[in-house]
Amino acid sequence: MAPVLQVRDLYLHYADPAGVVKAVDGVSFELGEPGTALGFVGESGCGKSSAANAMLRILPGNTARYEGEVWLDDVCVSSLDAEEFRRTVRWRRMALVPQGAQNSLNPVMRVGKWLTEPVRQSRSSDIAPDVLERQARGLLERVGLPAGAWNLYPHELSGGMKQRVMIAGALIFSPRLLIMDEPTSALDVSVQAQIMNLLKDLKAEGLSILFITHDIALASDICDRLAVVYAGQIAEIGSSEQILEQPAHPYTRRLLGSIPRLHDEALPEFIPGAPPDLRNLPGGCRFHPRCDVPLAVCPERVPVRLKAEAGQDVWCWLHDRTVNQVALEIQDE
Amino acid sequence: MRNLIPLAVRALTMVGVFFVVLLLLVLTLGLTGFSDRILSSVVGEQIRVERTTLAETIRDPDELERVLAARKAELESFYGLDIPWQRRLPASVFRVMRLDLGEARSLRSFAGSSRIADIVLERLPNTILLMTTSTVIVALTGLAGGLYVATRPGSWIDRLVSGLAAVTYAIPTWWIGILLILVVSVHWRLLPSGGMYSTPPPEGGWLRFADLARHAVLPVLSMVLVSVGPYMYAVRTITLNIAQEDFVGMARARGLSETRVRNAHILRVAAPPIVTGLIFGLAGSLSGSILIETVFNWQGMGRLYYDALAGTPDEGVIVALTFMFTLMYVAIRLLLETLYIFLDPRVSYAD
Amino acid sequence: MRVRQIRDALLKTPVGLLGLLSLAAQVVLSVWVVVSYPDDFGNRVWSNPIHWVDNPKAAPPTWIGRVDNQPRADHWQTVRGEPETVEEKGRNLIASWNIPYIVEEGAVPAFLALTVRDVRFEERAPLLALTLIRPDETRVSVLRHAVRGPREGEEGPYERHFDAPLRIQLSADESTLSSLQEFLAEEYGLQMDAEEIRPRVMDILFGMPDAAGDGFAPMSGEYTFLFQTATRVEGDGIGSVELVAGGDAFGRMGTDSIGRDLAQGLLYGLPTALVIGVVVALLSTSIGTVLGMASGYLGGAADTVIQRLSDIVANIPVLPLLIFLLFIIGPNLTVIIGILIAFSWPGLAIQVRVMVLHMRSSQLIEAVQSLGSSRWRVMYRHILPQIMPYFLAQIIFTAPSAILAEAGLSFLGLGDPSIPTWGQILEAGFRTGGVYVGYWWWIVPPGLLIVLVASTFMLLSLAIEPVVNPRLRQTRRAD
Repeated sequence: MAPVLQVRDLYLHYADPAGVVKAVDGVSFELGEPGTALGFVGESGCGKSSAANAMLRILPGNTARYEGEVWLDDVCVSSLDAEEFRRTVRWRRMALVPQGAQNSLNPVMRVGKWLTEPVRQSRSSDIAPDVLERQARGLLERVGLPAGAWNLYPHELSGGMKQRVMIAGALIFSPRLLIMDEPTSALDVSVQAQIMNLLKDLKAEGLSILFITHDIALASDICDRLAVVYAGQIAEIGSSEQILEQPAHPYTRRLLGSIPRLHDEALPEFIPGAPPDLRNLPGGCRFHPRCDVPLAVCPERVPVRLKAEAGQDVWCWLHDRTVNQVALEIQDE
Repeated sequence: MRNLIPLAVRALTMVGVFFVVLLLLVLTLGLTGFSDRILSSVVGEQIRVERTTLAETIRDPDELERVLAARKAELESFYGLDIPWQRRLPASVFRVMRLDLGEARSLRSFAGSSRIADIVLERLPNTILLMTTSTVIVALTGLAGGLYVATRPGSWIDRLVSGLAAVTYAIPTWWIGILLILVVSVHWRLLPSGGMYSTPPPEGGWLRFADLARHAVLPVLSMVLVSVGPYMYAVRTITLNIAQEDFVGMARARGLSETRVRNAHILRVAAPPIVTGLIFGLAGSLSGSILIETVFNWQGMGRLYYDALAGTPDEGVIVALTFMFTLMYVAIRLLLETLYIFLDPRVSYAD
Repeated sequence: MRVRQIRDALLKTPVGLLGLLSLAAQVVLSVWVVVSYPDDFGNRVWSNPIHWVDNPKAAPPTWIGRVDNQPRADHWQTVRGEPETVEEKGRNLIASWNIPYIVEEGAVPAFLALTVRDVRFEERAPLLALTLIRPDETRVSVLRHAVRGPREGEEGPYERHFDAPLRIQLSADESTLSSLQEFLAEEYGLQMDAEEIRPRVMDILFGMPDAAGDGFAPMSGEYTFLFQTATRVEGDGIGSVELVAGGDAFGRMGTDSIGRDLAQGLLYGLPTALVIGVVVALLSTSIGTVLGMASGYLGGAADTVIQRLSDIVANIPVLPLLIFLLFIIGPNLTVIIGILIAFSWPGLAIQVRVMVLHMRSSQLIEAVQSLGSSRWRVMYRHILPQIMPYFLAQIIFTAPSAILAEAGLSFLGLGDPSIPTWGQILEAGFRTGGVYVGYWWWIVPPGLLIVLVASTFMLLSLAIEPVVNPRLRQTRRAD
């Protein structure tokens, strides 16, 4: 059986007065069986959200480079033309819960109308209005909103309620894949927990989720697999246990070290150096200026995908025997 | 129901505006003695009328004068001329509101009446005609142009509109009108330089209408030229700002067509601030129409100001006009505010 | 720190620099005007028709000749004092002045006027005579005039035309008409009555009957005006004689229908416009800032009153009320400025209040207050500096609207007659119908100047807009 989602060599660059922003720069990954969740973890500004936009082909006006393949259930959706993609894939099979739900609802549209709008506007769906309303009301209930929310305007909703409306909105077509971009970052902890439970339920029903967050602990709570993103590229991908227990990339180790723990003597450490500027990236491995175990080869050559364990791939020269040889040779010289 | 509270608050402000202007009118009139003079002229007029009727029944001139003097005193006390003006204030306010300001000195209505109310009220439709026509044209072209320009930010036409908007603030409307007369009417002899109808006006409904339209071209054009720039620019900026909002990107992400995104998510949301733009422009276009009517001798209330100021000043007419313009302004404002509140569910006085 | 940003925006952007240079030039010119113009220019000069009597009426500027290449007589004016020759003739002393005058091809002057000043005589009043010697050596006796003799009870020496000079509009003078009648009959055998001659005095004086016989062809060449006085006693005579040949064009900016030199009025309008703009902007902005700060900082009843008032004043349709008030109080520039100030402050008062409320809750202000700084000290030291940029921006933004408002009021006839402004010049051009006969030089320049001054301020506000309101800068999100 083909994986739900396959992304190959995805690039999304923006033109900027100060140079080209390489927000997504050659990203490849896959999301296996239905009902699994992949976490996309990284610092803010590392290109996670851009990757989500690139998959949905939401491109800003200053896009300078956009290429790559996106396969959804064995269909190469990235080869569809824009109009067909919009009508058959976007939102129908791949939906997004965006970062900052606070401002993602149309301020002059009532929740019910907003929710059902894509279906009503869709030419291919001939669902009866009352059936649609029943389904949509069901979704609202499902995400834990009172029935009265149907008639409210966004300014009458709390932040948590808006976030739930966004989730319900994303589910209106029962998509295959749900991309969640920092779905809980603006919410308080109790609301966050409720939403996480909802996601787990949805996942159990067979929905695949791409969960984008800066919070590796939160991601591990729901995700089967994690991809650690650094400077527009994936640094390491593996099962959640592998990433948490035996991180293969120095960046992942640093990232884990920066999380405060309740029952640990050790203080959280910060990652030295500044997060990379996507306009002006270092050569070779992009992490090498901040890496605590750099090799001589790191500034010279871009790392390739290497196997750290079964099911755990890493882009780091530390895991390449031959390069280690070369590195030693360079150091000897 | 929920919408009615903010509407009431806004309505109250406008009622406040209305009464402050009214109070300012009667206070100024009272303090400067104009109030007394207006009332005296009302009394004098009435005495004159009564003199002619009484003269037929009372033959003795001394007797006539005596009766008239008694009548005059009676009228003066009726109008409150025998008490200080401060105590007449409520009555004065009421008089202004009913346009009960007596006779004009030299101005006459088209039909020959010298009652101020007649003179002013028959001009009202002409003012409304000019203002509505130009406002509708400004609104439509501004909307269409602004939306078009918003799709091309940074292009030469966008810069042109921004420039036009900035320049507009520096150009007197009425001067544009005069220039149009100089070039179009005097130099090219294309269109009439003023008035509303040719003399004599053509017979027949359509011909008459065409004549009116020909006379309206230049005044409407000047009003449009000076208001359309800022309005277009406002529509452009509002639309561009809204197009950058998250919910618009979200609408696209939700697979909606570009048409739907534009209509339901950009334009619909832009509607309330665009109406606000109209509200802000209203006072300006009111002033503009007073001056443009003057320039083109358009027989509306604005031109009446000029006529009342030139030659023998007609203070009663000026009071009536100031009142009528305020009333008109307040009425249009209330209309637009109501429209705004029904367009924007977010209205609340918390912010 | 924001004030410095504004300074940079003005000094370091082309738009800001252009605006500043333009403003500086206007200020320098204004100072020159104020220093060099007479004190009571409006009443004594501009609104005084006598002052302009020798100027051609409604004449376009002279440079127009270089544009359309039409022949136009230049405006010509000459004053002579001492006579060139004095000879004895019988019992009289004849003093003569020879004044040459050149008529260019086709450029017949519009009118001819003679002014004689300071006539003095012992016994008999002098006789004045003006003869025109034409290029073809024909002579036209244009004028014979006897100065008024001794009145009953008056004692010599007699003085005439010291206060009011003797001015004779030769192109409309009855004695000129009759001498022209004689001249035409003698020289050309033409019989014309006075009414036929009246409209063509200048054509006859400076031309000859054309071949067709129904008109006069201009005669170009060197003319000489021979002015003579006949007196009895030495010491009798005139102070000065002045001749004016009205041009078809006048000065750099032309004249209006009563002959006023528009260049002077237009120049005088500059300092007035700047003063109106700057004073209204400065005072209304100050009032708005003070009231806004008070409202935001004091809170309570003061806040409510100020805000309600601002709300109402901000929403009043200003022009009708301005017309009414000016009409009642009387057209006076100080009153105009005062009323404009009274209606311009509320916008800023509302804006400043919001900013003060925002700042008052900021941690810095709370900290400063908890250290025991007084209210007014906090306002002055911490809040005012943050409001300054808005204050400056508002001044720049209010100035052009004040200038336009005054112009509009002047155009409606409510301008201060003692201080000519551009709006008043336009009003005169409109009221007297100058527009309808195409006197563009009367209509276009004052409007252009209003636009020039107002747009100078607009340039400045365009330059500082990105500093004061960064949201207006176009931004694109990268993530």
